[in-house]
Amino acid sequence: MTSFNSVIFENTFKVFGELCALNNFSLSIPPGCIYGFIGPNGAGKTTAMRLLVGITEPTSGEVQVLGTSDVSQIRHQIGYLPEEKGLYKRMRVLDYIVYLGRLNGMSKLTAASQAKELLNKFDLSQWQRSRCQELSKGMGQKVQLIATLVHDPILLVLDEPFSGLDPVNVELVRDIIFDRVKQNATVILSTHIMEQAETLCDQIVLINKGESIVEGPIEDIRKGNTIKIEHSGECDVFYGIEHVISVKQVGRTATLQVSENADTQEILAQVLPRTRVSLFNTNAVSLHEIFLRAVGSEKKMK
Amino acid sequence: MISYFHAIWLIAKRDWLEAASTKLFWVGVLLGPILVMILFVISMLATTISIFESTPFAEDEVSNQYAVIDHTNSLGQEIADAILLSDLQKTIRYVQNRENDLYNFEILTELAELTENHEVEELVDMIGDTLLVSARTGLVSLDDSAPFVDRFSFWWEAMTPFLREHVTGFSQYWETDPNEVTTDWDVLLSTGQIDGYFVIPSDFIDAEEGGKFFTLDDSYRALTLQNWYTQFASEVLRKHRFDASDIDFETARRLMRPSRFERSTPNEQTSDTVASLLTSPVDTIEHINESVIEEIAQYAPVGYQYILWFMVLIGSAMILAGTVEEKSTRIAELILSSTTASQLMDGKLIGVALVLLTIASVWICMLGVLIFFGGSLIAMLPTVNAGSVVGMFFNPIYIFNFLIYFVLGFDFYG
Repeated sequence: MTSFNSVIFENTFKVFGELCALNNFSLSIPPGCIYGFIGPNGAGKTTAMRLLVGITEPTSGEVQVLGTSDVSQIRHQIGYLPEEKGLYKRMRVLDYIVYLGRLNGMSKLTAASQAKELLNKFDLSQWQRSRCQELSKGMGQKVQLIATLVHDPILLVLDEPFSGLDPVNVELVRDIIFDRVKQNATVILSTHIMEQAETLCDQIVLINKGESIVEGPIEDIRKGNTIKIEHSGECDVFYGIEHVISVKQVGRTATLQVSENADTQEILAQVLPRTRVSLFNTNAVSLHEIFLRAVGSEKKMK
Repeated sequence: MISYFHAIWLIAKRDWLEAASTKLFWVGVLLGPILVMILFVISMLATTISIFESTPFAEDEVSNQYAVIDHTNSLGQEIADAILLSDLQKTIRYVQNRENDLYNFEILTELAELTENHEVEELVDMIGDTLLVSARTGLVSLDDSAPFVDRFSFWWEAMTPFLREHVTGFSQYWETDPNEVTTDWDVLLSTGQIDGYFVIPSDFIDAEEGGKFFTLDDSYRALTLQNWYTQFASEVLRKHRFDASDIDFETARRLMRPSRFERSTPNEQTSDTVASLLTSPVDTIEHINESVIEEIAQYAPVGYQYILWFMVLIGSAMILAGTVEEKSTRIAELILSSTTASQLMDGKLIGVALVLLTIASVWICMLGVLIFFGGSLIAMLPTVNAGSVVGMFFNPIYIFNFLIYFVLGFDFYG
């Protein structure tokens, strides 16, 4: 079973004093995918990432990474980008990347050659002899990312990789991530931006208060029993249509709650003679809504 | 996969290079000992100033002069003679032990030749008698054909301030001109023209109470003056008392000569008496060199101790500061994704230790250079071979012990 997944969390608990950062957390991440950790601040995303790169150990339960629970054996196959990105200010950019490459088992020559190639790719070649303190925040983040990639890891763990990046660099990082996945690497990333997760991730886990709330392929999660219709009429045009349970209209947009086995094409056919339809969206549940719904329902329950 | 020790070495090397590759580091390392020396000199000056401030007179008001009221009309002069002879003996020893500055004076070249051909005590008696006569009669002779002792007495009178400054143990106090006798000594005392005055009673030889010393100064200067004069007065009194008991002075001196144990090693050839030392200038120099070297040997490890103490303290602070910085900037998190916590801390410990050893090596070498080039400037080491002192400072046992204690102390604090 373990050979099929890059990462497995199995009934994992991580407790700091009285705070339970991960509460019976279980998860399987298949290889070669982009997996998103989504959740509000303090949900436990970073704790989960630290566990799988071996910075901390679980209080109980098991974490298997690349087929082993002894992370120290496969450290050099993991590339970790922490959320808060610090650099050795007085070190030169190239030296810094080579240093981290060597800590991950590379020879000096290989690390230097790989670092130069990545610096070139990230358009930072002219800065390689500069000291890290001379870089802008965005450039510093790119250097951090290069240091994460330099040893060509097969598992990338990126904690908020897009924070602080301008749109051009966000696109660049996205390309890098897709490129790595094409090379059969597994990418685990955390983000607060749901749109990014929607467009980037193959699978996600929604974490709240240390627990996995929703998990799985993004299409399955977004698949709901709701249809959004933009039309020219009033909400009463939908009365009497088979499988429609309830209708809620705000302005020209109506949200229809339909029964589980409803055929959306049949509903559209019934609607068209009654009103002029400009938008018919069966994939209407956004991650944002799922997130708010999941976190909000927990709050209501309390 | 990277080996355990290779990761430690990489971390240590990075920490060492980060510190040691900056200009600021080297400026600090080179200026450190100089700043310590400046602080040392300032503290010495502050101490000196505070001593002077504690006396009733300002520094320029200290006259170094004293007066003697002699009710015996003879003992005061005898004490002055004893002081003069003592100064003369010290000057001759100084001439014997030196081959540099004072030999610029022709008269001293002659004196050195004379001491080679005469017993020192005999020479002292000969010159001393003339000086005493000179002091009383104002004998002046500049003629080269005049006898040596006459010319020497003239030279002596002119050069006394110079000798007072250069000859170790030379009297630092002098009696006011006996011709300027005044009845109101307290006025001289209160105006700072004299530091104090001694009163020798008429029955000084037999009196139980002894004489009196009047001063307004309650500092160590006055005490030094009192002890110094008392020492010569006691010598003169003893001579009179021996005479009164029909014991000749030479016998008395032999009887009163204190015993002493000279420090030596079994195979070392040592001089037997002070007299033999005085008659052989070369032996004297060697003897002094040996004693000076022994003294330095006792103090050489102290330098290492201070460096060790300093290193361990700043080393601990450096590790703490480095670790806190790495943790706050989250670099530690990044490193820990590639290494274990123990590798990171071991690497930091070794890295800081390398930085400290770099500093220590530079300081020890600077100290060695200072001893080598500055040795001859130190009055205590006029003829000591600076190379031998440096060699002693770089004794492998000291260096070995320094390294052992450094590793243990640093590891403990680190």
